[in-house]
Amino acid sequence: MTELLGNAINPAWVILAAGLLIAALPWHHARKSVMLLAPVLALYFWLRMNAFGDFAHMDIDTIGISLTTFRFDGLSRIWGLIFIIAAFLNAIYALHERDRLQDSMSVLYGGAAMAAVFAGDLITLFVFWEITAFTSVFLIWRTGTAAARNAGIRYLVMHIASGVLLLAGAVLLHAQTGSWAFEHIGLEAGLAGWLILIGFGVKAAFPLLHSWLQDAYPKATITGAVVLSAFTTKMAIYALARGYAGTEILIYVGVIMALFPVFFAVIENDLRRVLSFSINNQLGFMVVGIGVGTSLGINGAAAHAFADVLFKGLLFMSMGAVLYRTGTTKASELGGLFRSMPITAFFCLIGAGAISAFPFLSAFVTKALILAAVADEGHWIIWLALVFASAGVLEHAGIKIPYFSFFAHDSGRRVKEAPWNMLLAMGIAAFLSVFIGVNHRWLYALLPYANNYEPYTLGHIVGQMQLLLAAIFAFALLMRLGWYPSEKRMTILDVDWFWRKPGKAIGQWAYAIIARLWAHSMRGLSTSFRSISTMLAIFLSPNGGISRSFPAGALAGWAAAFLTLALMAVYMAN
Amino acid sequence: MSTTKTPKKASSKSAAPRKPAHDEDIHPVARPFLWLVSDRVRKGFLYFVGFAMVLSMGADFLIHRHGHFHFEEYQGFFAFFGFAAFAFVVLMGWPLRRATGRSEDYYPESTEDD
Repeated sequence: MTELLGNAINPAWVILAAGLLIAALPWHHARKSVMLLAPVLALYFWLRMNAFGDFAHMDIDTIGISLTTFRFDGLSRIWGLIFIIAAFLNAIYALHERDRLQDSMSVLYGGAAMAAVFAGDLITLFVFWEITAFTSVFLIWRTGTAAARNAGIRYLVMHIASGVLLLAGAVLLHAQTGSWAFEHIGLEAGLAGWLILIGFGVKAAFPLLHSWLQDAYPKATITGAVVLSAFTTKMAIYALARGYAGTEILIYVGVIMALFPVFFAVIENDLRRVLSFSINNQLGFMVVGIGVGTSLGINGAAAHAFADVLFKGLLFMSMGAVLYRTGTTKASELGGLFRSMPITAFFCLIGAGAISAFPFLSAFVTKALILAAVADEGHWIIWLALVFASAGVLEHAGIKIPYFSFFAHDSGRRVKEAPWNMLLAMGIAAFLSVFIGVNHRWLYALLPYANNYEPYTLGHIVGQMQLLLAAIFAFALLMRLGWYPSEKRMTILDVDWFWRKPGKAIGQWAYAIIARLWAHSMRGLSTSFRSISTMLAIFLSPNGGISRSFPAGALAGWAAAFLTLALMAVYMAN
Repeated sequence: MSTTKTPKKASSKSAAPRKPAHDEDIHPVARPFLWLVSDRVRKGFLYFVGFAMVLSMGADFLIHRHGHFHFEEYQGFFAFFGFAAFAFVVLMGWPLRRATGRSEDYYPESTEDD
């Protein structure tokens, strides 16, 4: 069934197998050893790859599909590596935690994201796309509060829907082209192209589809939020880069993504939610790069995704450490923590500097690629908007996160420094953020296309320092004048208000009405239901109408129908 | 959950001389850096950053920054733009919070958390 060429082993299998093994291991230390060793082994298999190509095919003869489960090329190479690094850092960060479910789910989740990146066809992509949703939701649920439970359900519904859209689009695309291969799709593919784009867009947190991110991530467990920040959204960016490079609408979508979270992050009190807005904002930069679609743009998106996994992970780790020690990440409750957590504060500052694109830190050499790609194409308004958004990044991620937790007014909290394993994970992420900033050639060599952009020109450094210093000056001035919106405990509404308030009320009303109608009409309808189900069976069964036109389509159609049903059931249960 | 009383909004303007509440609890690594939160540094920070900003703008008169666009080559372009962007983002926080801010228990489920 599986045919291996040249002895290449998909690193994702190692991680997935480790996840299954961990689920079965009752011993804490054994689980942690596997969590640490699996990424090392995966890295070994990644390093062994010395050629590009499709390395593993799986033919499922019964339904006539040939799957490509391991495609190693310029794009999947860099994403594979950063996911391996993330899995390793997550394992270190979670060493203290005794939770078999989270251990196995976080590893399976990372492995599924990796497998999705290495998928060469849309069916394989879909399968692992959905597995990331089913596994990652436990990282939210394990917090154990009602808020986390409900946010997890909302998260799951949107992510399953994302997969259903992907599958529906894939089936349509297959009907048009006769191929399941995951190559450039674009909007030229018509409805199929749109469906898949929106499916990807949910996971990439496009505007209006984004609320799951700010809703669920801040409610995840301490380690869960760190794990979540690495995989789902970056996997979606990969999928967009593969399928929609040069799709112009993404430039505008990306700019909106980069801009709007900046404003919300200013007033948000929960610092992990601020970081969730920050994810959204950074994804915006990457989506713009993909929309531009030139080799420089795609390189920029890939490089920035790589750097983002590290510095965003680092920021989430530092806020996780604060949450672990103080029990809160609300800015209004924190302040002055550098007195008791100085090492965490130091690493957090490196993460904050890296995301703000200070010279010699990672985003300085990665975001510049995207801005250069935009400028090369002459999009001066987009370029200005991204520079504007960069000032906003400095505000919420560069200043707000470290300032209100570790400095500002002293909250009087005297806690212990973070556990050694958290410090080690933060230290490695901080080191890599500096390493990339200094050794940008190392990262550039891993990018999908040849890259001779030079970030370290005197002009670039001076311009960037002007931007950053002027923005910090504005911060100091606004604080002095008392014009900075002080931190307040409150809920900031987002688009999910529509389904959490009026949507829920309408749903409850409709449910009551339907339940009554249902009870009333059940008796009369039972016979006609039987005939409808017979018709459906004829139409959808392997020998029926749909499958005659495209055999694998029937299977996919069934899967989509069941997933939609499951989705509705879960939402009703909520 | 700790209910430590936090001082009412301490803007840098009115930073009262704060004796560390439990000095013995301060992490040894942090001790050499306590001057960072001294009143002098707090007050001087604005001028320090302002000075650094002016220096970075002055550099534009010594070197020619080559940009993609004509307008980005103006002396101090990034400083002016950065200042304006940052101030705009922060000041928009006031109306935005009035429009979208609700009490913390707005969604019933969230009350269980704290």
